[in-house]
Amino acid sequence: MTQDIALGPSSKNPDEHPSSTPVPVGDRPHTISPDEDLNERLEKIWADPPGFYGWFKALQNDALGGRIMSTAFTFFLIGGVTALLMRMQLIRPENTFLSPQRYNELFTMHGSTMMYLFAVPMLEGFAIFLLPFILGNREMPFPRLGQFSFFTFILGGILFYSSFIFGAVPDAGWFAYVPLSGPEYSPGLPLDFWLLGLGVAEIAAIAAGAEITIAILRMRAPGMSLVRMPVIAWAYLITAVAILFAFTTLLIASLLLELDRKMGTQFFNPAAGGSAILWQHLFWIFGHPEVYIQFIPATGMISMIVPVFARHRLVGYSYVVIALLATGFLSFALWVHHMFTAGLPQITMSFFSVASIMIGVPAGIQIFAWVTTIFFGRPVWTTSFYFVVGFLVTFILGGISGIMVGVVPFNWQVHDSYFVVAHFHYVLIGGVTFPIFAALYYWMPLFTGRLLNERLGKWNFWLFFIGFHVTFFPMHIVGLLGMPRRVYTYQEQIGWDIYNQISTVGSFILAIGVLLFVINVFYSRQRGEKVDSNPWQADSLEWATSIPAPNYGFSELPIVRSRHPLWDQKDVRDGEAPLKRMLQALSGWPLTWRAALTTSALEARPTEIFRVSGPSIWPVVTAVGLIVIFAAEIFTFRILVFSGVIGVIVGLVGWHWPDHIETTERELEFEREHNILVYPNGSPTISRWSMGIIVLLVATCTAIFVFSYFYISLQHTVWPLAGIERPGLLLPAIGTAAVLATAAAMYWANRRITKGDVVGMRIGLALALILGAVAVGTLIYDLRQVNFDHTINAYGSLYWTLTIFLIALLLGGMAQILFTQIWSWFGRYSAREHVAVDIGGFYWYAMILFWLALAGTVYLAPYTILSS
Amino acid sequence: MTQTTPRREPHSRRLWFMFLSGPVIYSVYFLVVYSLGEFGCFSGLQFVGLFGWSIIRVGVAALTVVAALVTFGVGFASFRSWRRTRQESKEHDEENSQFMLFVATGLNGLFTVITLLTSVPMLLGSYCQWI
Repeated sequence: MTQDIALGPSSKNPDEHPSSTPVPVGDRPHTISPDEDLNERLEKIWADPPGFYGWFKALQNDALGGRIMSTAFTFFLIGGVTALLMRMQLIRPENTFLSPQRYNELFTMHGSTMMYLFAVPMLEGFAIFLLPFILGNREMPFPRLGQFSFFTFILGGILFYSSFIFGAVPDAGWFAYVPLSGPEYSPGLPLDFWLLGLGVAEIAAIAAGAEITIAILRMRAPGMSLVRMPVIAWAYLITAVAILFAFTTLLIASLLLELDRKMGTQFFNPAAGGSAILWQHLFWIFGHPEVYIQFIPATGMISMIVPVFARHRLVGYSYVVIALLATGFLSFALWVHHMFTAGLPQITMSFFSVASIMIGVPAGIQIFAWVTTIFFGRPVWTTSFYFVVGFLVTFILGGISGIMVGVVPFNWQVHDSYFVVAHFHYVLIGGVTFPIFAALYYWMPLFTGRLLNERLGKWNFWLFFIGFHVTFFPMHIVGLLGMPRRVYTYQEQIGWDIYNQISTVGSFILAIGVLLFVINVFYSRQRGEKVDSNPWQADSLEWATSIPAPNYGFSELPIVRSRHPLWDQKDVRDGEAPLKRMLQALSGWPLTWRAALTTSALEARPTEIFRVSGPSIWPVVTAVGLIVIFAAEIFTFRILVFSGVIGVIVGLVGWHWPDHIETTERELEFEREHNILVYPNGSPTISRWSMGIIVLLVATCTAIFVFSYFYISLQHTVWPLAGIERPGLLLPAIGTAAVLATAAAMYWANRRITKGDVVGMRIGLALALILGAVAVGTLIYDLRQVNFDHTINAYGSLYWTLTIFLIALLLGGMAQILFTQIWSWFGRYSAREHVAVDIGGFYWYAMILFWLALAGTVYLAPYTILSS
Repeated sequence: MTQTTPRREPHSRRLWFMFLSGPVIYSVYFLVVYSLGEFGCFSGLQFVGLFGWSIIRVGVAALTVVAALVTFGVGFASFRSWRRTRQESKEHDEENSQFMLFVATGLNGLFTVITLLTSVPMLLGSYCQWI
């Protein structure tokens, strides 16, 4: 049962700011210590290094989150300009403002920018900035990964846009369908810029996804059990996990296409046994969840903002969580609805049609929850709330047209028409951009310490809202009239002129709305109303710090006893006495390293105090090395590719080089006194979870490779193709034995070090290294003796690529063992601290499964049903 | 040092299982029936009969029954556990396990319906027709 709350009267004057009803000072539940000296010392430990060099080493969540959001918003403006240019071209029939080629380039850059460089990074930027505050902790679990993510994102974006400088702008759409994007129909560099430039940005997204997942599951404030977790945390958790699956799929698909383009493989070439439709499958396995990867966190933002401005708790919290989870899973069961005209069996289409329609149910649940909350509340009409209402109106319309295109016969009618353009802009701008604007108005005080101007904000909203509907609503009609998308012009007297003219006018109104927002940001940074705490009388923990937030976030971590801590708890530091004592002690100790807290996944009980890594240049070196590899590969400059690989290896070694701190009696005393583990050299829990995510990523890659293998092979009556003999089984049998033995050696090494036997551990690691090398040797020997190469046909491409992928997995595991061995000679491991051995073992146990899946596919599949 | 192991939360594995089983079972089910349909039609399995029906149809029907029964069963068990914990701890408004069980009930119920609906088009005659 929901319960109303009294938080002061709603503002009758729209220009009167709701912060004019302040929370009484005595009730401010701040977790900033009154001890100025202590705060200063904490600030010193957590602050980023100053100066130009320090800018590169910076890794604080607020600095990185702010940078990612600013960069993503800049890409949004650039993407918007490309849209305006297209609208100018379409304002009248047979216009010559843009050439057909330039138009193709612009719609490719527009779609790619908005999907890869704006929406997802923007939402990840929000997460990196906000999550430590919302979750009531001091940092994200991997600040250096966040730093790496930022640099890969911005460098990837720059690489993508440098295609303009080289006159090689991608022109095959944001989906890059083959054969159009293949080597035959898109020779030259443009598609390489698309594949490799965006590939770097995809890596950035995956890195952020990993960090967000672990932060939400293991770094929540004590007491923030799942039932008390803010909806935005649920939304980001589901999104982050979806990112891990979806973006990894795209990365593998991009790799396969690039191999076709540069290395002569035949994955997508039907003439050599490949499949063009396979690209569509792989792309949309990513592409459809991508829409929900944007939409789900946006709805999380709405669920945070609606209760604050409706002055009412969110109605149906549990139902909203059910809806979010259902949406996250169902989003992976929709991809084929983008391929209804590609030529598929009816049965396939019917499965996806049902799922596409059913996803309306969880979306509807959320909409009912928001509308009901507003209905029972007393809304405060701030600009942020205007954008929320704009979202509701627009997204409902987009959702309805989404159900329509989920129905197969209707889909056939409107496929590739402007109706679809209208639909997805209603969903993506309505469902994502409106909430982003709402969130920017809502959280800007936390970012800058100042409110955005409300009067400018209202103008911003109305121009954006009206401009949006004037632009995109007519597209439904012109689409039903038959206007195809992605055409640079149309003939006179077909009847499409007036709709296109209205759309173009609307797009400029919309652009003025965006421009007003930019003006508002610059204006308010100088002259906006300053705030020092909780201007909206909100309920969540990010408003429990001072504004702007200090680098350490919370000097004393909060104890959560309610889903709305700032509404229900008089003091967020109050809680069970032992817990309170421990958190108080943690606020004044240790003052020599960055201490954060891990908590259990379900009930958020404190489990460890650990050291968060500090500023470093090595993540930047790694990101630069990566961009060098990708950029050099565009121009097939292999020596530079090799130097990039060296850069990445050096960067990774430097990044992970142990910065060892001896565990002192003080740490042990703290452990005994407060009954909590203290790890000044990093958290074993976080390390294990990170290895779990690496295994998940590898498992996704493996699944995609295996899917591709069977998708292609099942289309042939004879397999292997072109008279190639079936592979021999002796070498893979030896390799299987070697992998099993490697895992056993790792298990033994782990057992020995658990008992404090360092020598035994070293022997185990050495054995594992040798056995791993034997497994690699069998694969390399096998590749050397086969009498076909990767270019002969799709079978050869699959055989070589899957085997090389397997070799790469083995080498990755061996590198981890090698460094563990080296560091053991520096005295890094003991019975107490040996997580590297532990997670190395975990990787090799998983490696058994990867080996069985990949080697089983490559070597055994031709002997099964496929052989006939 | 004091080797403290964090206290295991009550029935946490069972809770996680119930919580995630609906969507996970549906995902596996969906992937398998999709593969059966797509690859079965590719390789002419619709002409292989079983009980007077094609093996694709029989396979999808059997998988649907199994998936729906398991999902419904877990949902029902979640509901019963939720009702029991609710009666046992009336003084607490919303406890974590209650919440997990409630969400598990909802998710399992929703995915049972979706699973059943997914199989309905199999009743059509020309399911392997290439369009």
